[in-house]
Amino acid sequence: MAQLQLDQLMRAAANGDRPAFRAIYDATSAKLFGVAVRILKRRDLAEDVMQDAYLKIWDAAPKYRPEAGSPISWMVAITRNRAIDVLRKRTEVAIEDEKDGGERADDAPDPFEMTAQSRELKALLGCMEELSPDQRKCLLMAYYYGYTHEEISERMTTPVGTVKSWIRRGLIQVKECLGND
Amino acid sequence: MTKRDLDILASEYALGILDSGERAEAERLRASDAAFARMVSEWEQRLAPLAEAVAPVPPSASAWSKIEAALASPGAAADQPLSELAGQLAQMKRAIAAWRFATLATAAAAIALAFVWIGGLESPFGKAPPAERYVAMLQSDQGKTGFVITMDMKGKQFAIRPVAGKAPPSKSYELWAIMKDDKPPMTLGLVGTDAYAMMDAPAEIDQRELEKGVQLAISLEPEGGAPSGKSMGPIMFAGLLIKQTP
Repeated sequence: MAQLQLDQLMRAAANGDRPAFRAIYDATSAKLFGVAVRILKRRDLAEDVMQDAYLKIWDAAPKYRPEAGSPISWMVAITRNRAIDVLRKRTEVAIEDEKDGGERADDAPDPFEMTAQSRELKALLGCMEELSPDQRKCLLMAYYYGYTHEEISERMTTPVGTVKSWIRRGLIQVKECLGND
Repeated sequence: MTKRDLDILASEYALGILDSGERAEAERLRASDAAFARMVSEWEQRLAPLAEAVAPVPPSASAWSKIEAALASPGAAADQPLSELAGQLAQMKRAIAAWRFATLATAAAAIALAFVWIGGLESPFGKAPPAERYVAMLQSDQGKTGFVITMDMKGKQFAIRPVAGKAPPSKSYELWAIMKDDKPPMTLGLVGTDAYAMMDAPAEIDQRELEKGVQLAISLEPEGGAPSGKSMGPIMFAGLLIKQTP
């Protein structure tokens, strides 16, 4: 859906227009659900998270400002935050053992492999190209799966302290690079 | 924490890497510190393009019905009626603004009517100086004037004058004050169709709030008023309280 159209629907939803909100849902739910499934690896949990996210989006729509990013970025951030909150609360239940989809090496999201990249994604990836491959890998694992420093350290068999500093320095470098556009 | 430390925390929070303790700390800061909240939003925006690479997964067909049910039931989404009320008001304000330009003559007549009454002998406030009076014309989105409400700052009272408003059978009109700064609408009570009625103004509506702008609105509620003290019904008339004389 065109960005402009989504902007208009968001304004209508902010004014209590439910059909507009339904249209937003139809246009964005597969993306938000995809984001939640990727992090939670279980459809049932991901669906709860997605539903909470849409209720929050409806409630917060009057406060949404287009200057602060596109509607879809804003909605993805709300969904990711909710999904990661749920993921952290469930550490004791060992989500890994019950997962029914998600993390397999061959379907891991790889933005660098995408053929159609937005201008914003191109700029971000251009900046990430300047990081070391390990740094890039850490950042992408954290973004797509919501892993903690410890979890990444296990998967990369690298000390937690090293992972921490890779990520910190990587983020600072990305920010500086994007700011210099 | 220095600004730089805060920005690092914001970046790690937005990336989603913090453990639950650190996350709780970041969320607390986000709710209490506007500068930190801005940093988080900026980071969310910087990283958001990465989501383009996430493959869409269609949710089950029943997923929407749960959202719809939660939107419709005030118990599940407690804030819902309030945000809806604010939304209706925004819509109405625009409708009224559009109407004002379209039918200036009718508007002038309605305003003249209001001022005849306010300035006239029947003023319910006696000889209170007009500078201490506020007036609101509550209109429907079709531009029909339903109520004229005057507020006397000295006596802290509202005078409510129904012009065309009469609630349908087994429904009640309820008067709400909507103040700035996202405060929830405050009920002022039910309004009937008496020639005019007086009502005490709550202490919250003071000079400062009036200067910032207080909107009055009449909603249609079940007989006896909104259960739970939150407006559920549609807004029938709305208008801004303005100073009677500048």
